[in-house]
Amino acid sequence: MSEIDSAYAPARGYDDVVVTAPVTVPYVRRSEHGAAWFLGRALAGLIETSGVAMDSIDGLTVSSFTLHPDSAVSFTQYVGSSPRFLESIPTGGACGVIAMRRAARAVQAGDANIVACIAGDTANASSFRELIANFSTFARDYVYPYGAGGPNQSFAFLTDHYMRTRGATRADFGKLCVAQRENARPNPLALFREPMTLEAYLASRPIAEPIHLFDCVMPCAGADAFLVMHRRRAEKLGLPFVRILSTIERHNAYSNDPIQMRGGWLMDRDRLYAEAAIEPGDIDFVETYDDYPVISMLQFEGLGFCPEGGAPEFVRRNTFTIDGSFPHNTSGGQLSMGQAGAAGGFLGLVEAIRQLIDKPLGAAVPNAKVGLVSGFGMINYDRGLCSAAAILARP
Amino acid sequence: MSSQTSNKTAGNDGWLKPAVDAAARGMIAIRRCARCGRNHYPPREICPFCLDDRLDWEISDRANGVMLAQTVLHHSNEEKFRARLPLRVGLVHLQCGPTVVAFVDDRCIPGSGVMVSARLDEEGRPVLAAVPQQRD
Ligand SMILES: [Zn+2]
Repeated sequence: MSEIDSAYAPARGYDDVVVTAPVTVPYVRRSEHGAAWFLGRALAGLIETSGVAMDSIDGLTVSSFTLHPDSAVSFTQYVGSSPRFLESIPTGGACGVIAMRRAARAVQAGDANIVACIAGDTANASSFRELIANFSTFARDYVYPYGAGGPNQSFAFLTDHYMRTRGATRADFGKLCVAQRENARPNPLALFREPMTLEAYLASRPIAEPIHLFDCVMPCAGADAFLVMHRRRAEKLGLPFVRILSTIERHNAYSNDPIQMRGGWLMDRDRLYAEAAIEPGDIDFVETYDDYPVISMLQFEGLGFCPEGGAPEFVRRNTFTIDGSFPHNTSGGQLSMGQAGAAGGFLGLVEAIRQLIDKPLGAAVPNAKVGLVSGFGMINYDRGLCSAAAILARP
Repeated sequence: MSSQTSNKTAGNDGWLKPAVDAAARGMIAIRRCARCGRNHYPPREICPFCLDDRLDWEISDRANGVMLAQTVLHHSNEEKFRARLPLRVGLVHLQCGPTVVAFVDDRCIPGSGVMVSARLDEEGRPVLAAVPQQRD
């Protein structure tokens, strides 16, 4: 840690601010609806699940790639919402944790009573190509002209380098993918629920070597959402809820590394565990951002479950199914449920909430009291820029 | 879409013209800060190391570096690349500082030295390509 970092005072805790009402608008491969439909159905789902009136939702965070040219602001007019707190959270795979921590501070400070956090996207034949072709100026002008491989291509570089420097094999990645598919089997909302063998994983066709088909998430349409409010309000509404023990976020970490071998979690994880007053060994289950398996490995390392470079060995000596030694991506993750754009950044968080209120989409992690959710967002040029994590617990 | 993104000298991209002109002559252009002396890529109008806006172009016929990683693409989101699949692309750490994406020759090996040069692609954008370093 730098001198300035170590001088920081610990962040204030979240007191009695809680997270509740996880909602998923079921994912579909393609849709004729616009992004506003998915976001609007998520908002309606929050109201239906919680019994809170639309007028009582006085805070809103919105995450979407395909809402453009509309924005969080124009979306309020679209759905007839009149919030006094509004945030657009554009951090992709890190947007769930980041939306939650923004919302929690707004509630804590009294800027809003109830914040609806929603993320969603549509998908059609051309939306994915349009998104990746114009993802950013760096991506558009300095990566896309080199074969238009999209995120597969950028993650292939990181995977190739990680395999050669850290000794990871395709079978190590495959073990994570097979376990996630196993976790998806009882989840009725997963797009892919049929069992997958390691042999099938290894035999899948190359897309951007060393990335093969079953390393890739399926782009799809859908939305996820949750509410943030005071504990006493949730109790009055009779809503089961979870506590926020601690959160971190970081952007553009280690920018002088010639190639990404670590994410921002490493910079902030001491604070994450210290503020939650727990150790990595106290965590009952972990939801990582699983686009792609190598990134789950960087999260195991960055969040202190194993040393830097130690994830291949960690994967070999653990099992990652719901009943395994390290329950991981317990709904099946994006690899099984699909990647509904920005909702992919919410998927792990809503699953963690569900595990801790005993309403998982699929199977329950036995005796789970504390869960860790991690996010990784916005692969830009040569690396992912956003990292975030949160530790959640039963009341 | 590509027609909107191809003309690098239009609109607010005029500051990139020296890189386009260099690539038309086969030369690679790297941004260099007049204040801190550090190089960066992709090119910016603000130095990411010191925030100064006095930035020069270092133009040369090739830049040496080490290929850090590679991929072989078997899928492309653009029709024009599909006929060229499988296509090899790499990440090259240049000796002068930055890491660049480049097309790479089949003989380039990860961890080994490469030489990077530039050209214009069919849409008039500068693109980089790497070949193995010559041994003298
Ligand atoms: Zn500078």
